[in-house]
Amino acid sequence: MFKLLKYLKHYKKESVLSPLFKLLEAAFELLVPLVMASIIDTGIASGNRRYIYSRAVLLVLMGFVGLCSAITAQYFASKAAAGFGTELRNDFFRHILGLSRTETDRIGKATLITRMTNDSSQIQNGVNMFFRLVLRSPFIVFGAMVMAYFIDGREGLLFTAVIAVLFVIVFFIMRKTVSLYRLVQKKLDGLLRSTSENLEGVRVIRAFRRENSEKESYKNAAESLSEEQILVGKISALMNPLTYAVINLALVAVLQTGAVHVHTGRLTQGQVVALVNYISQILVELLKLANLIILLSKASACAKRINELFAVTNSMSDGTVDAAQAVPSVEFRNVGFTYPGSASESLSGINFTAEPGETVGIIGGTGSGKTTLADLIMRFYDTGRGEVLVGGRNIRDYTLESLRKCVGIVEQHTELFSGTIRENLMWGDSEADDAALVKAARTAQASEVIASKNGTFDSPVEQLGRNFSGGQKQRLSIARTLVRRPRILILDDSSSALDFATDASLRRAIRTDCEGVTVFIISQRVTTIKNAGRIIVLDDGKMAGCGSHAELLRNCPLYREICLSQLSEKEAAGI
Amino acid sequence: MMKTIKTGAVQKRKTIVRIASLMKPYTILLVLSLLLAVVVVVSTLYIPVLSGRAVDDIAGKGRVDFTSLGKILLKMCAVIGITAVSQWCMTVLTNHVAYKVVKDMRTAAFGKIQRLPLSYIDSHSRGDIVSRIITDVDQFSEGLLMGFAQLFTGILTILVTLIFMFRLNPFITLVVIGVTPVSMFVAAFIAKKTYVHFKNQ
Repeated sequence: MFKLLKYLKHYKKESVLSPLFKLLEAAFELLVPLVMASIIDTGIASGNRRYIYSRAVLLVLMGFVGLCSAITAQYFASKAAAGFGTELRNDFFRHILGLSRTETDRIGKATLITRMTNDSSQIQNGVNMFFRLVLRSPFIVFGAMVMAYFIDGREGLLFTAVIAVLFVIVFFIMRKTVSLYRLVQKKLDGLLRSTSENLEGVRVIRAFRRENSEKESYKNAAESLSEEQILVGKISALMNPLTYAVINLALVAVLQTGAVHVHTGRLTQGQVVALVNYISQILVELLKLANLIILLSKASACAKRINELFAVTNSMSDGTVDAAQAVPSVEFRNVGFTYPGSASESLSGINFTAEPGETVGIIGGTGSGKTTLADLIMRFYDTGRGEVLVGGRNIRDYTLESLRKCVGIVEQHTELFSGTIRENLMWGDSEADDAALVKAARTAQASEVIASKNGTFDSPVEQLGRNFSGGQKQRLSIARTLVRRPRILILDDSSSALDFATDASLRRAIRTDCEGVTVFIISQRVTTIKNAGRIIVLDDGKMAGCGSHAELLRNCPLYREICLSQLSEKEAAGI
Repeated sequence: MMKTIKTGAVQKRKTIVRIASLMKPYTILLVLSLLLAVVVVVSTLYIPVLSGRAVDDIAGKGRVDFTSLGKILLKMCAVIGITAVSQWCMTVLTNHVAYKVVKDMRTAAFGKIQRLPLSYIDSHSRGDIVSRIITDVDQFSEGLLMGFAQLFTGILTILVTLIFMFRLNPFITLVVIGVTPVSMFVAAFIAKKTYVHFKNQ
């Protein structure tokens, strides 16, 4: 929790002023019962109307000033807390962007989102309440006690005893609930994980008809979470009634002893009233304090989780060599790769060389490792074994920025972002002029997409590109990557939504327009890759073959099988 | 695209109907907790009335009515007991309903995931769906159920206080009713000015 306090540094003034104004309010509140006592004892007893009126005006003034300072304090507290939240979220976002995929995969998207939204707003809330109550509540509680001593020593002792009992109650209930709350949080995390896993594995679950058993186990988990929450609720719900009962019994005791003292003349009626008021002030403040403690314990749990993520560092060390001048050859030397958290290798024993300007096709079934191979060239992950070389040098030597500038990838699931077509294409190169955009769009066969949207680059793109079809999105994202003029281009199944003719003209255009660019085409379609100079056949993370279409047809049974499942014998053999 | 065609009001009504159907299995518990809330509010507010009467019995030196005071104090003890017990029961009941509704919603949403077309799941970010089922559901129960409970007791407290005050002194009650909004308004105004002032400094 304390580590995160640095985000308040731009809000020092607010952080100090807010509790101070609250303190001011509390001081006025503590004085009210004394004024009341003087009204009763001096004013009413002697029937002095003018005295009563003047004191009443004083009371109203005090109340009003108190209210103003309370609202001012709230204003400052909210401002500081909101600023805190914003800076925390910004920094957290920056931190996440700085992590490699190895880390973000392990942590999981859902977790990142909850940390970013839910946890950070809980902390923000905690900060807000902390400012408002940290000085005020203890000040009122102990101030009321001091005032009681000020009125009468014995009553002061009673107050001290009551406060001690209250603290014991609050302490034990808090201790119990905080540990139970941790358990609840764990179960909630579990539920979150299983929701997320179910979405991730939805195809597998449906393929194996596991829907009902998944539903059943989810229901049980949700049930056990709610039972746990109800149990914590039962214990924490004890707090208010118990403290209420203690305080009010103390009130009865004050009235009883007060009566005796008034009878003997040790105390006045007004003083008893003041004592009664102090007791109820303690009650109100104590409830607020208890709520604050609950809120803070929640907030500190959230802070802990956020700090855990801040502590995650990028496992990928940046290189020092600029890749801008590297020859665009790609070589895999005995590469093996295991996804974090996975037991077996997703790629193993991969060996091949792609010469500059060559087109390499990569084919294989789902889960054969095609995308993983592309991710390794981009250095989204580091290899487990072996090395990936670009221009004859291990890619770990290059700076990540220059490497990724040099290698352009069009991913399998393409995303466009809300804005205009131009803004989306400029992601590739923020300085690209219209001519460059037109050229890239033409190569990517995206000219007609733009023509269909009023023919201008300024046509709007809705969130996630929802106003474009799958094929249109694919062509626009290819154009976006081409705008960067990469020297190694990876098309990861990025023409899957295009018809065969467009797919073919896309490949032709890339070959003619991108002179000297090494192109990787990943696909499950034989027609897409069969004209590539070199084709790599992947099977369950291993190379089942590498060579030209004709060579592979002859000596790679798997490739032959794939071809024959998609093409006629004649198509496969000829043309 | 259905969403854009439907008007806001229809959407809203549908949401309310859906919420009502979620609450339906817990109607008895909800009614019970509302009744308890009434007991809590009335008995909580009865305490100051009693302590006021007790103070009246403590008029001054040698003028303390111990028999009447003893009766009032005994009554207070009883009311304190009633308040504490019904407050606990009320909170436990509200929690029960809130957490069970959350559970029901999550289970239903999860069941829905199993039936959703894959295209929906593919076209929506996973994190988004997850945070709806986990975080938003929590927010819903906290905001709607606990918020409703607080609003109900809050309004009830104000009403019962006014009734008690009216029985004590109608004139002062009217003054309080009149002054409260005015003072809130003026205070907010001054606070805003103060804030601007500080900001300019």
